[in-house]
Amino acid sequence: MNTPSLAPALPEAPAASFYEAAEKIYPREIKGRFATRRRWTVVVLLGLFYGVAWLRWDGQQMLLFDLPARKFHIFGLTLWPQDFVYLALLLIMAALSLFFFTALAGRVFCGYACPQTVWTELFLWIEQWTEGTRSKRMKLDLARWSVEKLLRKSAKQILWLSLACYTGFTFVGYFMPIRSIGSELMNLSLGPWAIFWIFLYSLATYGNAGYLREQVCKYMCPYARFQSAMFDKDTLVISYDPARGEPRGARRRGSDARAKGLGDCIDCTLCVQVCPTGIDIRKGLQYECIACAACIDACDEVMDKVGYPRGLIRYTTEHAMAGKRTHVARPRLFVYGALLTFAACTIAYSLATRTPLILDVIRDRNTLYREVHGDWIENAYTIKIINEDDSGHVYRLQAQGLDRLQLAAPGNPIEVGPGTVSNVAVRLQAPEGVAHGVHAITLRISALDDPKLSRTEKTRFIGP
Amino acid sequence: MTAHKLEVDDGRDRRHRVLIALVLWPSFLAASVASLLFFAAVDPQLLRDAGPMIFDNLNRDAGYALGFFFFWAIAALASGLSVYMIRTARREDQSTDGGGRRQ
Repeated sequence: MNTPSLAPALPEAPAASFYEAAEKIYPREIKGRFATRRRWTVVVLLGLFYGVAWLRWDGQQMLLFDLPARKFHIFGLTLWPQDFVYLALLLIMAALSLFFFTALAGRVFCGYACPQTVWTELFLWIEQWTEGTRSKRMKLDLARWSVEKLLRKSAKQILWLSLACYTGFTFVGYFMPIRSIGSELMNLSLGPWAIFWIFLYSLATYGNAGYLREQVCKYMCPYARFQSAMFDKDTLVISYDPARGEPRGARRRGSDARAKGLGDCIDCTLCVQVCPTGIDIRKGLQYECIACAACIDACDEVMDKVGYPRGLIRYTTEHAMAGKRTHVARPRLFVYGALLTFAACTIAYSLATRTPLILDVIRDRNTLYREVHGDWIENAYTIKIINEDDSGHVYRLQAQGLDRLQLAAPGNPIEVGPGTVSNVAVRLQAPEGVAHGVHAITLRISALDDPKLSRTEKTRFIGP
Repeated sequence: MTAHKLEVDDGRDRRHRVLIALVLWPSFLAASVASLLFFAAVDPQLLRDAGPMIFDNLNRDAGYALGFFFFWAIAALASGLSVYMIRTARREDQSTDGGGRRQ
């Protein structure tokens, strides 16, 4: 029996060949439960992408990875490059979520949320709107150039290009303040690098969503290749039920297919026509399948028409197909879930206890020590105070760890404005009698107006 | 599978695809990660101040872009070498039909 297997496509499947002249795929338009769901996901995700860039929070862009200023604004929180650990944790969480949902529900990400899918869907809508249904599009491509063909094709190109440019602009707007690059664009005073990145991302959108489409999933996507490592026999996959469908074959309406020895598949090939990656789901599960469920919608509609029960192609698991029980709760899911929870808690805890203040101490490397006032030993340091807070503070600097240690810092307490870095030259002095050898000492800064706002750093004091 | 397919059929179209899908694309991904990690720790402006004079007129944006393309080029070199090594390797399973075929 043709049980679904995760082995890469069968040898005769042309889709697996890398060098086949890629045939253009004309996905057939589809209506149904999953198509509706997918349409809504696309609308919501694209709405978020195009909309969030313009939202503001506390007078700042709500989500802005401001690369020119090297500051990240996330929901009113300002993160600095020194806070990279949060970004790293967020990325780890994203990866773990992908693992978790893949193990649970297969390639839901591919079919519904992947930017490649989402923008391809949007570009397909435009294509359907300007060039018509699948059969019309195929005819139009074969037809000789005419006024109608020219109009339809150029309407599509204009819409595609404008959408691609706007997408590129919005994307760059998450890395440079979108309002200022917007007004600079209007005044034609946009910097060369901003133009370059907008152009590059517009081109990528246009090419990926307009032309490459399923080829990105088939040939370029690493996730498509390694997702099978997260699959097991209880993972939700889209599968054709060969036990019920085979042997497939056309039949007259109302004729007794059972008597003729036929299964439920009427071989209408609609499941192939709607497939955005151009595979035949009836050949078993293939890595080209992005789990968009378009074939389920198509097959259900046909089953309704011929009066057979739905679900010849359906969401199922390998265990269910083999007539065994499907276990939703299984160790793999608990492990992914636990790691995910741990990462989330770590982020939440460290953000909640985060002090928006950083102290860096660098010992003067040129001289170990020098003698001053006859019998005192002096060490020099440069300290860097980074005030990550949105308001300015005055910090008092203190040194500890050695008897009669004295601090000579100009302008102590030190004022540091909101979101700025201050470098201060600091000298520490101790009597020669206690300064022999190497001593571990601590430097501490604390805000005068908020004692909780403090940082302590260790450094060394070196004597003769 | 990929290595095997690389031996079958030739053509300019194919070579372009290998270049894009197996060399430029993976190195693009690697360069993105490298840029993210590198520029999280290093401010391009500091590099400019420490580097040779020809960089003096560049701003931070240019620094990011140059860094990214530098990483991309290096990663593409690695990917390209890998593809080249696979393509020119003697293949065990072809030793029966006239020894290791070379391209």
